[in-house]
Amino acid sequence: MLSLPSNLLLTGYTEIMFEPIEMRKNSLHIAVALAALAWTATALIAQTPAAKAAPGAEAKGIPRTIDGKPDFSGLYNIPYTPNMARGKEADVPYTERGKQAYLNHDSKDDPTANCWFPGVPRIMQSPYPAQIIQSPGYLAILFEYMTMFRSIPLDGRPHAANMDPTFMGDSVGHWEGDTLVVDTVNLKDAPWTWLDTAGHQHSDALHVTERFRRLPDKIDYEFTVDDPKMYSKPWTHARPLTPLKPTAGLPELLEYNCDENNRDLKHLISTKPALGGQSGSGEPQ
Amino acid sequence: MQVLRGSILAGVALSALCSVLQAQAQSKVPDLSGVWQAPYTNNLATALGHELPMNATGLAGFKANRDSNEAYDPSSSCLPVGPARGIQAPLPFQIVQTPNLIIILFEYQRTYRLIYMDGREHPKNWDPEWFGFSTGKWEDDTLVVNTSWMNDRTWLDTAGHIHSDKLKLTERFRKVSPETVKWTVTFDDPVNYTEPFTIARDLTKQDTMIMSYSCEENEKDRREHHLPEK
Repeated sequence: MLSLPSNLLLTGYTEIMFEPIEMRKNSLHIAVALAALAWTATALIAQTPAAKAAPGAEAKGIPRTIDGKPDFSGLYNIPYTPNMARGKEADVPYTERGKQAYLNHDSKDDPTANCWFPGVPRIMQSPYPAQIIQSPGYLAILFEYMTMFRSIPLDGRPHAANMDPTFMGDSVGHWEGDTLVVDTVNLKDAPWTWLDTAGHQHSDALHVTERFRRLPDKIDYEFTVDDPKMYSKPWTHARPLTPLKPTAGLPELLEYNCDENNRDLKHLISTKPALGGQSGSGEPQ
Repeated sequence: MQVLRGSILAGVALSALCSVLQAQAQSKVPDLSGVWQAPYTNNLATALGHELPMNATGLAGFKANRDSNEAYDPSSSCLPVGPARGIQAPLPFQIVQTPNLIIILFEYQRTYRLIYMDGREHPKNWDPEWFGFSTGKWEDDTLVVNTSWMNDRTWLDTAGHIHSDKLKLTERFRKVSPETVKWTVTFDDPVNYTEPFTIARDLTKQDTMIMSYSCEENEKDRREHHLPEK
């Protein structure tokens, strides 16, 4: 389970959590070496008209879908980011409420210990691979973590009006040139979700803007946390999503079950009242 | 580094070519993309028209589950319901279709199924998973999906029909109109049933989107010890 106390994640456990990713990196290296062997043969294919980018394309040398948009489909490593402020704690633009919420959080209250979905942006910080499947109208991101998904419409629709907040919020995507911009609102706040494992908090005013830019060898990914109740100015993070080659003979994503044999649940007792905008009603305190 | 860059470029070029070829091949098969829903099928016997062909083992397991008044139902503990029961549920699901991979996004439990379309074989040796391992292929206009390696902890339906980890599913998806997909599923589990049996359901297109679902939110059954350990 990912939902270990954050102080453990930041010390000894971090090594353990990273191990599978390192193994996957090794298989990537092997795959790259194999691909290099095929380079001479496939160089000719690169010259054929079929492989040319669609008309009007901005970025060169990237795969595109049949409607000419950059194709993000593939298996990716998400850099595990348990603490968005690691090494930069002094730079976090807390409001007083945001600072108190962070200082007073208790790692025993980590919402993912209940197998609740981690929300946006925390889902994009888990140490498990993700597979993107893109069709002209939709981008689906399948996460190995919790075997759960995000489904993002790309047809330019506005946010749904008059909806109850949800764990994963309401995400809609649009294109700015070759950059896919995903806008997410209507997210639940504490005690249901945190921004990261370290316990940075957000309110119901959270608005997350993610930008995906396809490069030949990776996705440039950045997100901005805009939550004026907790942070005095927007807070941006950038990191690459790098392609992963699956281990030979194994599927791209393995099954992850958070609820199986979850014995913690009976022992988890919240030590503090909820600090967020929602009362946390329904959870025994 | 030069070799690395070259191989990446070659890979990108190859995948671009493959995309074009696949798009051409893909245009010949029906498009199952969209949000669909089956009629709620809480008891396979109702869909079949008579009780399932259980052997003594299957019947004993079914009776124990039925008499537990759903307390043993894995879904009561937010555990995954498996590939067919996900479709039998009274909630919509979205099919996203690409040439090499078809995915089913379930609103129920907010989870997904992967159906590999790239010709790969089923593993020879595998730890069974809740949703098993699925591959699909097109037979004329019908998508045929074979699933194996499901663990024996899911129920086939809410009524409590059981299965073993020897269960194999064969599903057929055939689009009979823009609004209807005929879905049949054959359950083959020689451990609990005397013969394979097949149910048919009409999946209907939904003018809606997949919404949020949390099984664990405010989950008091487990936290307050209302569910028996089995």
